[in-house]
Amino acid sequence: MGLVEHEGNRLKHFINIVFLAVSLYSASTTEYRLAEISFFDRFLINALAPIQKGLSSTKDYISSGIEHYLLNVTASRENIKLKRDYSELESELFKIREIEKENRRLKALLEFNSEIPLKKVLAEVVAWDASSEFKVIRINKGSKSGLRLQSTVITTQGLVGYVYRLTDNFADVLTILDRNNKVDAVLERIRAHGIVEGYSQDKCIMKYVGRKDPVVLEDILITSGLGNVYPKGIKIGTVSRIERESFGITQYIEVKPSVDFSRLEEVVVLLSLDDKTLDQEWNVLNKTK
Amino acid sequence: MKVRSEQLPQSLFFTILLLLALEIVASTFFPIIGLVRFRPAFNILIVLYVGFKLETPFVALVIFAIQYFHSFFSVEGWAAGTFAGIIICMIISYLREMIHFSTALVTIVVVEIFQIIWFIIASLLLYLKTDNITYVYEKFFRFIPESIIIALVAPYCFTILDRIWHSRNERKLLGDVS
Repeated sequence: MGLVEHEGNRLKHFINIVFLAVSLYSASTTEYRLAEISFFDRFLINALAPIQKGLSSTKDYISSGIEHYLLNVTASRENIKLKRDYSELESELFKIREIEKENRRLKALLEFNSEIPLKKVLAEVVAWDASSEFKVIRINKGSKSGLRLQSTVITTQGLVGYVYRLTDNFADVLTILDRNNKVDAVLERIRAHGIVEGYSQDKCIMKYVGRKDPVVLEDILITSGLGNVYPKGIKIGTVSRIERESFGITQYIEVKPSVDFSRLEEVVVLLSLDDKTLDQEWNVLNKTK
Repeated sequence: MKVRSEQLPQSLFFTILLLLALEIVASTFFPIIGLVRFRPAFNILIVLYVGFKLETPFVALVIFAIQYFHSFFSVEGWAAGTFAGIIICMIISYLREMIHFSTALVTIVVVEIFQIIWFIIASLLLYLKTDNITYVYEKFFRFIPESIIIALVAPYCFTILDRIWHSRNERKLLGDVS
Protein backbone atom coordinates (compact mmCIF):
# COMPACT_ATOMS: atom_id res chain seq x y z
CA MET A 1 0.00 0.00 0.00
CA GLY A 2 2.83 2.33 1.03
CA LEU A 3 4.72 1.42 -2.09
CA VAL A 4 1.70 2.24 -4.29
CA GLU A 5 1.30 5.62 -2.56
CA HIS A 6 5.02 6.29 -3.01
CA GLU A 7 4.70 5.49 -6.74
CA GLY A 8 1.65 7.82 -6.95
CA ASN A 9 3.62 10.64 -5.34
CA ARG A 10 6.52 10.14 -7.73
CA LEU A 11 4.13 10.29 -10.70
CA LYS A 12 2.48 13.41 -9.26
CA HIS A 13 5.84 15.16 -8.77
CA PHE A 14 6.90 14.19 -12.28
CA ILE A 15 3.67 15.54 -13.87
CA ASN A 16 3.87 18.72 -11.75
CA ILE A 17 7.45 19.41 -12.80
CA VAL A 18 6.70 18.79 -16.49
CA PHE A 19 3.66 21.11 -16.51
CA LEU A 20 5.47 23.76 -14.44
CA ALA A 21 8.38 23.79 -16.87
CA VAL A 22 6.17 23.87 -19.97
CA SER A 23 3.88 26.60 -18.61
CA LEU A 24 6.79 28.73 -17.40
CA TYR A 25 8.49 28.42 -20.78
CA SER A 26 5.24 29.24 -22.58
CA ALA A 27 4.46 32.19 -20.28
CA SER A 28 7.90 33.66 -20.85
CA THR A 29 7.93 33.24 -24.61
CA THR A 30 4.29 33.92 -25.55
CA GLU A 31 3.62 37.22 -27.28
CA TYR A 32 0.05 38.46 -27.29
CA ARG A 33 0.32 40.23 -30.60
CA LEU A 34 -1.08 37.45 -32.82
CA ALA A 35 -2.63 34.12 -31.91
CA GLU A 36 -2.32 31.04 -34.08
CA ILE A 37 -5.42 28.88 -33.70
CA SER A 38 -5.93 25.19 -34.29
CA PHE A 39 -8.99 23.48 -35.72
CA PHE A 40 -10.14 22.62 -32.18
CA ASP A 41 -9.70 26.27 -31.03
CA ARG A 42 -11.66 27.45 -34.06
CA PHE A 43 -14.43 24.93 -33.37
CA LEU A 44 -14.75 25.94 -29.70
CA ILE A 45 -14.74 29.69 -30.38
CA ASN A 46 -17.35 29.24 -33.10
CA ALA A 47 -19.46 27.14 -30.76
CA LEU A 48 -19.23 29.47 -27.75
CA ALA A 49 -19.34 32.92 -29.35
CA PRO A 50 -22.98 32.56 -30.55
CA ILE A 51 -24.02 31.92 -26.93
CA GLN A 52 -22.24 35.12 -25.91
CA LYS A 53 -23.88 36.91 -28.82
CA GLY A 54 -27.31 35.56 -27.81
CA LEU A 55 -26.86 36.74 -24.24
CA SER A 56 -25.83 40.18 -25.46
CA SER A 57 -28.81 40.58 -27.75
CA THR A 58 -31.37 39.42 -25.17
CA LYS A 59 -30.38 42.19 -22.76
CA ASP A 60 -33.11 44.55 -23.99
CA TYR A 61 -35.76 41.83 -23.92
CA ILE A 62 -34.91 40.75 -20.38
CA SER A 63 -34.76 44.27 -18.96
CA SER A 64 -37.97 45.29 -20.71
CA GLY A 65 -39.74 42.08 -19.53
CA ILE A 66 -38.75 42.63 -15.90
CA GLU A 67 -39.75 46.28 -16.06
CA HIS A 68 -43.16 45.56 -17.55
CA TYR A 69 -43.92 42.69 -15.18
CA LEU A 70 -43.11 44.78 -12.10
CA LEU A 71 -45.18 47.70 -13.37
CA ASN A 72 -48.27 45.60 -14.00
CA VAL A 73 -48.34 43.24 -11.08
CA THR A 74 -50.27 45.51 -8.69
CA ALA A 75 -52.68 47.16 -11.16
CA SER A 76 -56.32 46.24 -11.87
CA ARG A 77 -57.16 44.03 -14.84
CA GLU A 78 -58.19 46.94 -16.99
CA ASN A 79 -55.15 48.82 -15.98
CA ILE A 80 -53.06 45.78 -16.78
CA LYS A 81 -54.59 45.59 -20.25
CA LEU A 82 -54.17 49.31 -20.88
CA LYS A 83 -50.68 49.35 -19.53
CA ARG A 84 -49.80 46.28 -21.54
CA ASP A 85 -51.09 47.94 -24.70
CA TYR A 86 -49.25 51.09 -23.78
CA SER A 87 -46.10 49.15 -22.96
CA GLU A 88 -46.26 47.29 -26.22
CA LEU A 89 -46.64 50.52 -28.13
CA GLU A 90 -43.92 52.10 -26.11
CA SER A 91 -41.72 49.07 -26.66
CA GLU A 92 -42.39 49.25 -30.40
CA LEU A 93 -41.59 52.95 -30.36
CA PHE A 94 -38.46 52.26 -28.33
CA LYS A 95 -37.45 49.61 -30.85
CA ILE A 96 -38.07 52.02 -33.74
CA ARG A 97 -36.05 54.72 -31.99
CA GLU A 98 -33.28 52.23 -31.31
CA ILE A 99 -33.33 51.17 -34.96
CA GLU A 100 -33.27 54.83 -36.00
CA LYS A 101 -30.33 55.50 -33.70
CA GLU A 102 -28.60 52.38 -34.95
CA ASN A 103 -29.18 53.44 -38.54
CA ARG A 104 -27.69 56.82 -37.82
CA ARG A 105 -24.67 55.25 -36.15
CA LEU A 106 -24.16 52.75 -38.97
CA LYS A 107 -24.54 55.45 -41.61
CA ALA A 108 -22.01 57.60 -39.81
CA LEU A 109 -19.68 54.62 -39.54
CA LEU A 110 -19.90 53.90 -43.26
CA GLU A 111 -19.38 57.53 -44.25
CA PHE A 112 -16.58 58.00 -41.74
CA ASN A 113 -13.12 58.31 -43.23
CA SER A 114 -14.48 57.94 -46.76
CA GLU A 115 -11.13 59.15 -48.05
CA ILE A 116 -9.47 55.97 -46.81
CA PRO A 117 -9.27 53.73 -49.88
CA LEU A 118 -10.19 50.58 -48.02
CA LYS A 119 -13.18 48.29 -47.99
CA LYS A 120 -15.21 48.60 -44.80
CA VAL A 121 -17.09 45.87 -42.96
CA LEU A 122 -19.55 46.67 -40.18
CA ALA A 123 -19.48 44.45 -37.11
CA GLU A 124 -21.15 44.28 -33.72
CA VAL A 125 -19.39 43.79 -30.41
CA VAL A 126 -20.66 40.54 -28.89
CA ALA A 127 -18.36 39.98 -25.91
CA TRP A 128 -15.46 41.30 -23.91
CA ASP A 129 -12.33 39.54 -22.63
CA ALA A 130 -13.01 37.27 -19.64
CA SER A 131 -10.16 38.86 -17.73
CA SER A 132 -10.23 42.55 -16.79
CA GLU A 133 -6.47 42.57 -17.26
CA PHE A 134 -6.75 42.38 -21.03
CA LYS A 135 -8.73 44.71 -23.23
CA VAL A 136 -10.02 42.51 -26.00
CA ILE A 137 -13.44 42.57 -27.67
CA ARG A 138 -15.10 39.88 -29.77
CA ILE A 139 -16.98 40.95 -32.91
CA ASN A 140 -19.51 39.05 -34.99
CA LYS A 141 -17.62 39.06 -38.29
CA GLY A 142 -14.86 36.68 -39.29
CA SER A 143 -12.88 35.45 -42.24
CA LYS A 144 -16.10 34.66 -44.14
CA SER A 145 -16.79 38.41 -44.22
CA GLY A 146 -13.32 39.04 -45.59
CA LEU A 147 -11.57 39.90 -42.32
CA ARG A 148 -7.91 39.06 -42.00
CA LEU A 149 -5.47 38.98 -39.14
CA GLN A 150 -4.22 42.50 -38.36
CA SER A 151 -7.20 44.17 -40.06
CA THR A 152 -7.65 47.62 -38.53
CA VAL A 153 -10.78 48.24 -36.45
CA ILE A 154 -12.22 51.76 -36.04
CA THR A 155 -15.34 53.71 -35.11
CA THR A 156 -16.49 57.20 -36.06
CA GLN A 157 -14.56 58.44 -33.03
CA GLY A 158 -11.24 56.89 -34.01
CA LEU A 159 -9.00 53.86 -33.67
CA VAL A 160 -10.19 50.78 -31.74
CA GLY A 161 -7.43 48.22 -32.45
CA TYR A 162 -6.64 45.33 -34.75
CA VAL A 163 -7.85 41.78 -35.34
CA TYR A 164 -5.51 39.40 -33.53
CA ARG A 165 -7.55 36.17 -33.54
CA LEU A 166 -9.87 35.05 -36.29
CA THR A 167 -12.42 32.33 -36.98
CA ASP A 168 -14.92 31.98 -39.83
CA ASN A 169 -17.65 34.03 -38.15
CA PHE A 170 -16.01 35.83 -35.24
CA ALA A 171 -12.90 37.85 -34.55
CA ASP A 172 -11.10 39.02 -31.43
CA VAL A 173 -9.84 42.60 -31.49
CA LEU A 174 -6.86 43.69 -29.42
CA THR A 175 -7.83 47.24 -28.48
CA ILE A 176 -5.40 50.13 -28.11
CA LEU A 177 -6.11 50.04 -24.34
CA ASP A 178 -4.26 46.73 -24.10
CA ARG A 179 -0.62 47.03 -23.13
CA ASN A 180 0.31 44.48 -25.84
CA ASN A 181 -0.93 46.80 -28.57
CA LYS A 182 1.63 49.30 -29.78
CA VAL A 183 0.64 51.95 -32.34
CA ASP A 184 3.11 54.11 -34.23
CA ALA A 185 1.61 57.60 -33.82
CA VAL A 186 2.18 61.19 -34.86
CA LEU A 187 1.24 64.33 -32.97
CA GLU A 188 -0.83 66.08 -35.61
CA ARG A 189 0.22 69.66 -34.77
CA ILE A 190 3.99 69.24 -34.46
CA ARG A 191 4.42 65.97 -36.46
CA ALA A 192 6.48 64.35 -33.67
CA HIS A 193 6.58 60.55 -33.76
CA GLY A 194 6.06 58.18 -30.84
CA ILE A 195 4.63 54.81 -29.84
CA VAL A 196 1.21 54.67 -28.16
CA GLU A 197 0.73 51.78 -25.74
CA GLY A 198 -2.29 50.69 -23.74
CA TYR A 199 -2.06 51.54 -20.05
CA SER A 200 -5.38 51.20 -18.23
CA GLN A 201 -9.15 51.07 -18.66
CA ASP A 202 -9.38 54.57 -20.15
CA LYS A 203 -5.93 55.81 -21.05
CA CYS A 204 -2.83 55.06 -23.10
CA ILE A 205 0.70 56.38 -22.88
CA MET A 206 2.84 57.78 -25.66
CA LYS A 207 6.50 56.83 -25.52
CA TYR A 208 9.67 58.02 -27.18
CA VAL A 209 8.64 61.66 -27.80
CA GLY A 210 11.68 63.89 -27.38
CA ARG A 211 11.83 66.10 -24.29
CA LYS A 212 12.21 69.23 -26.38
CA ASP A 213 9.19 68.56 -28.59
CA PRO A 214 6.61 71.28 -27.72
CA VAL A 215 3.68 69.00 -26.85
CA VAL A 216 0.67 70.70 -25.23
CA LEU A 217 -2.52 69.39 -23.66
CA GLU A 218 -5.32 68.46 -26.10
CA ASP A 219 -2.83 67.85 -28.93
CA ILE A 220 -4.36 65.32 -31.32
CA LEU A 221 -2.66 61.99 -32.06
CA ILE A 222 -3.11 60.16 -35.34
CA THR A 223 -1.71 56.94 -36.74
CA SER A 224 1.50 57.39 -38.71
CA GLY A 225 0.94 54.51 -41.13
CA LEU A 226 4.27 52.95 -40.23
CA GLY A 227 4.38 49.30 -39.21
CA ASN A 228 2.01 47.97 -41.87
CA VAL A 229 -0.87 47.50 -39.43
CA TYR A 230 -2.81 50.76 -39.25
CA PRO A 231 -3.51 53.08 -42.20
CA LYS A 232 -2.20 56.63 -41.88
CA GLY A 233 -4.34 59.42 -40.43
CA ILE A 234 -6.76 57.65 -38.08
CA LYS A 235 -7.40 59.61 -34.90
CA ILE A 236 -6.13 57.85 -31.78
CA GLY A 237 -6.88 60.38 -29.03
CA THR A 238 -5.74 63.57 -27.35
CA VAL A 239 -2.93 64.39 -24.95
CA SER A 240 -4.35 64.47 -21.43
CA ARG A 241 -1.23 64.76 -19.28
CA ILE A 242 2.41 65.71 -19.81
CA GLU A 243 5.35 65.22 -17.45
CA ARG A 244 8.52 66.90 -18.65
CA GLU A 245 11.69 67.00 -16.57
CA SER A 246 14.69 69.26 -17.04
CA PHE A 247 16.77 66.15 -17.68
CA GLY A 248 16.31 62.93 -19.68
CA ILE A 249 15.72 62.23 -23.34
CA THR A 250 11.97 61.79 -23.56
CA GLN A 251 8.83 63.13 -21.89
CA TYR A 252 5.96 61.25 -20.29
CA ILE A 253 2.66 61.71 -22.17
CA GLU A 254 -0.71 60.28 -21.26
CA VAL A 255 -3.34 59.95 -23.98
CA LYS A 256 -7.10 59.90 -23.67
CA PRO A 257 -8.41 57.65 -26.48
CA SER A 258 -10.98 59.32 -28.70
CA VAL A 259 -13.08 56.14 -28.67
CA ASP A 260 -15.35 55.66 -25.65
CA PHE A 261 -14.68 51.96 -25.08
CA SER A 262 -17.38 51.65 -22.40
CA ARG A 263 -20.06 52.45 -25.00
CA LEU A 264 -18.71 50.44 -27.89
CA GLU A 265 -21.51 48.69 -29.82
CA GLU A 266 -20.61 48.70 -33.49
CA VAL A 267 -17.25 48.96 -35.19
CA VAL A 268 -15.90 49.14 -38.71
CA VAL A 269 -13.19 46.77 -39.88
CA LEU A 270 -10.98 48.15 -42.63
CA LEU A 271 -9.99 45.68 -45.29
CA SER A 272 -7.24 46.26 -47.74
CA LEU A 273 -8.46 46.30 -51.36
CA ASP A 274 -5.25 44.81 -52.58
CA ASP A 275 -3.53 42.65 -50.03
CA LYS A 276 -0.87 41.52 -52.49
CA THR A 277 1.24 44.60 -51.81
CA LEU A 278 1.04 43.99 -48.08
CA ASP A 279 1.91 40.31 -48.52
CA GLN A 280 4.92 41.26 -50.64
CA GLU A 281 6.12 43.69 -47.95
CA TRP A 282 5.75 41.02 -45.26
CA ASN A 283 7.60 38.49 -47.43
CA VAL A 284 10.49 40.91 -47.94
CA LEU A 285 10.61 41.64 -44.19
CA ASN A 286 10.58 37.93 -43.36
CA LYS A 287 13.40 37.26 -45.81
CA THR A 288 15.57 40.01 -44.36
CA LYS A 289 15.16 38.44 -40.87
CA MET B 1 -10.75 13.27 -1.60
CA LYS B 2 -9.04 10.52 -3.56
CA VAL B 3 -10.08 10.51 -7.21
CA ARG B 4 -10.19 7.24 -9.12
CA SER B 5 -8.62 7.36 -12.59
CA GLU B 6 -11.82 6.18 -14.31
CA GLN B 7 -13.83 8.94 -12.56
CA LEU B 8 -11.45 11.68 -13.68
CA PRO B 9 -12.51 12.22 -17.35
CA GLN B 10 -16.24 12.42 -16.57
CA SER B 11 -15.84 14.80 -13.62
CA LEU B 12 -13.34 16.90 -15.54
CA PHE B 13 -15.79 17.16 -18.45
CA PHE B 14 -18.58 18.47 -16.19
CA THR B 15 -16.15 20.82 -14.44
CA ILE B 16 -15.20 22.30 -17.83
CA LEU B 17 -18.88 22.70 -18.72
CA LEU B 18 -19.37 24.61 -15.45
CA LEU B 19 -16.30 26.73 -16.23
CA LEU B 20 -17.62 27.53 -19.73
CA ALA B 21 -20.97 28.62 -18.29
CA LEU B 22 -19.28 30.84 -15.69
CA GLU B 23 -16.89 32.31 -18.28
CA ILE B 24 -19.81 33.18 -20.56
CA VAL B 25 -21.49 34.91 -17.62
CA ALA B 26 -18.28 36.80 -16.79
CA SER B 27 -17.46 37.80 -20.36
CA THR B 28 -20.97 38.64 -21.59
CA PHE B 29 -23.58 38.95 -18.86
CA PHE B 30 -21.54 41.07 -16.44
CA PRO B 31 -20.57 43.65 -19.11
CA ILE B 32 -24.18 44.02 -20.34
CA ILE B 33 -25.43 44.77 -16.82
CA GLY B 34 -22.81 47.49 -16.51
CA LEU B 35 -19.94 45.65 -14.78
CA VAL B 36 -17.38 46.56 -17.42
CA ARG B 37 -14.34 47.17 -15.26
CA PHE B 38 -14.40 44.05 -13.11
CA ARG B 39 -14.47 40.42 -14.27
CA PRO B 40 -14.35 37.80 -11.50
CA ALA B 41 -11.92 35.05 -12.48
CA PHE B 42 -13.92 31.85 -12.04
CA ASN B 43 -11.06 29.77 -13.39
CA ILE B 44 -9.08 30.63 -10.24
CA LEU B 45 -11.96 29.43 -8.08
CA ILE B 46 -12.13 26.07 -9.86
CA VAL B 47 -8.36 25.61 -9.77
CA LEU B 48 -8.40 26.34 -6.02
CA TYR B 49 -11.11 23.71 -5.57
CA VAL B 50 -8.94 21.21 -7.42
CA GLY B 51 -6.06 22.04 -5.09
CA PHE B 52 -8.12 21.91 -1.91
CA LYS B 53 -10.15 18.81 -2.55
CA LEU B 54 -8.67 16.47 -5.12
CA GLU B 55 -5.98 13.95 -4.37
CA THR B 56 -4.75 12.61 -7.68
CA PRO B 57 -1.37 12.56 -9.43
CA PHE B 58 -3.05 14.28 -12.39
CA VAL B 59 -3.81 17.58 -10.62
CA ALA B 60 -1.47 19.45 -12.97
CA LEU B 61 -3.27 17.97 -15.98
CA VAL B 62 -6.66 19.06 -14.58
CA ILE B 63 -5.34 22.58 -13.99
CA PHE B 64 -3.93 22.72 -17.50
CA ALA B 65 -7.31 21.65 -18.94
CA ILE B 66 -9.14 24.34 -16.94
CA GLN B 67 -6.68 27.05 -17.97
CA TYR B 68 -6.72 25.87 -21.59
CA PHE B 69 -10.50 26.29 -21.82
CA HIS B 70 -10.24 29.61 -19.95
CA SER B 71 -7.87 30.83 -22.67
CA PHE B 72 -10.74 30.81 -25.21
CA PHE B 73 -12.26 33.69 -23.28
CA SER B 74 -9.10 35.62 -22.53
CA VAL B 75 -5.99 36.74 -24.36
CA GLU B 76 -4.16 35.90 -21.12
CA GLY B 77 -3.53 32.34 -22.43
CA TRP B 78 -3.14 29.21 -20.34
CA ALA B 79 0.49 29.26 -19.29
CA ALA B 80 0.69 31.82 -16.45
CA GLY B 81 -2.46 30.50 -14.78
CA THR B 82 -1.27 26.90 -15.07
CA PHE B 83 2.03 27.83 -13.48
CA ALA B 84 0.37 29.74 -10.62
CA GLY B 85 -2.23 27.00 -10.14
CA ILE B 86 0.32 24.18 -9.85
CA ILE B 87 2.43 26.18 -7.38
CA ILE B 88 -0.70 26.90 -5.29
CA CYS B 89 -1.69 23.21 -5.34
CA MET B 90 1.80 22.25 -4.20
CA ILE B 91 1.49 24.74 -1.31
CA ILE B 92 -1.97 23.39 -0.42
CA SER B 93 -0.72 19.78 -0.46
CA TYR B 94 1.59 20.65 2.45
CA LEU B 95 -1.16 22.48 4.36
CA ARG B 96 -4.08 20.15 3.57
CA GLU B 97 -4.25 18.70 7.09
CA MET B 98 -4.64 22.22 8.53
CA ILE B 99 -7.44 23.33 6.16
CA HIS B 100 -10.97 22.30 7.12
CA PHE B 101 -13.95 23.87 5.37
CA SER B 102 -16.15 23.56 8.43
CA THR B 103 -18.21 26.71 7.77
CA ALA B 104 -18.99 28.96 4.81
CA LEU B 105 -17.00 31.75 6.50
CA VAL B 106 -13.88 29.58 6.72
CA THR B 107 -14.29 28.70 3.02
CA ILE B 108 -14.56 32.39 2.10
CA VAL B 109 -11.49 33.37 4.16
CA VAL B 110 -9.34 30.46 2.93
CA VAL B 111 -10.28 31.12 -0.71
CA GLU B 112 -9.46 34.83 -0.28
CA ILE B 113 -6.04 34.01 1.25
CA PHE B 114 -5.12 31.65 -1.58
CA GLN B 115 -6.32 34.16 -4.18
CA ILE B 116 -3.84 36.63 -2.68
CA ILE B 117 -1.09 34.01 -3.08
CA TRP B 118 -2.25 33.48 -6.69
CA PHE B 119 -2.09 37.25 -7.24
CA ILE B 120 1.45 37.40 -5.87
CA ILE B 121 2.67 34.57 -8.14
CA ALA B 122 0.88 35.90 -11.24
CA SER B 123 2.09 39.46 -10.56
CA LEU B 124 5.65 38.26 -10.09
CA LEU B 125 5.51 36.51 -13.48
CA LEU B 126 3.99 39.62 -15.04
CA TYR B 127 6.59 41.90 -13.47
CA LEU B 128 9.45 39.67 -14.62
CA LYS B 129 8.05 39.74 -18.14
CA THR B 130 7.08 43.41 -18.46
CA ASP B 131 9.39 45.10 -15.94
CA ASN B 132 6.49 47.43 -15.10
CA ILE B 133 5.54 47.69 -11.41
CA THR B 134 2.89 50.40 -12.03
CA TYR B 135 0.82 47.93 -13.99
CA VAL B 136 0.96 45.39 -11.14
CA TYR B 137 0.01 48.13 -8.67
CA GLU B 138 -3.02 49.08 -10.74
CA LYS B 139 -3.97 45.43 -11.18
CA PHE B 140 -4.00 45.04 -7.39
CA PHE B 141 -6.89 47.52 -7.01
CA ARG B 142 -8.95 45.58 -9.55
CA PHE B 143 -8.01 42.33 -7.87
CA ILE B 144 -9.49 43.32 -4.47
CA PRO B 145 -13.19 43.55 -5.46
CA GLU B 146 -12.89 40.69 -7.97
CA SER B 147 -11.34 38.37 -5.39
CA ILE B 148 -13.98 39.28 -2.78
CA ILE B 149 -16.78 38.35 -5.21
CA ILE B 150 -15.03 35.05 -5.97
CA ALA B 151 -14.54 34.32 -2.25
CA LEU B 152 -18.22 35.07 -1.51
CA VAL B 153 -19.50 32.67 -4.18
CA ALA B 154 -16.90 30.01 -3.30
CA PRO B 155 -19.08 28.02 -0.81
CA TYR B 156 -21.85 27.66 -3.38
CA CYS B 157 -19.54 26.85 -6.28
CA PHE B 158 -17.66 24.33 -4.11
CA THR B 159 -20.95 22.61 -3.28
CA ILE B 160 -21.67 22.23 -7.02
CA LEU B 161 -18.13 21.00 -7.63
CA ASP B 162 -18.50 18.54 -4.71
CA ARG B 163 -21.43 17.02 -6.54
CA ILE B 164 -19.49 16.88 -9.79
CA TRP B 165 -16.53 15.16 -8.12
CA HIS B 166 -18.80 12.91 -6.00
CA SER B 167 -17.51 14.05 -2.62
CA ARG B 168 -20.95 14.01 -0.96
CA ASN B 169 -19.80 11.83 1.90
CA GLU B 170 -17.15 14.24 2.92
CA ARG B 171 -17.56 17.27 5.14
CA LYS B 172 -19.76 19.84 3.39
CA LEU B 173 -18.55 23.34 2.69
CA LEU B 174 -21.47 25.24 4.15
CA GLY B 175 -20.97 23.88 7.65
CA ASP B 176 -23.24 20.85 7.90
CA VAL B 177 -21.55 17.50 8.51
CA SER B 178 -23.27 14.57 6.84
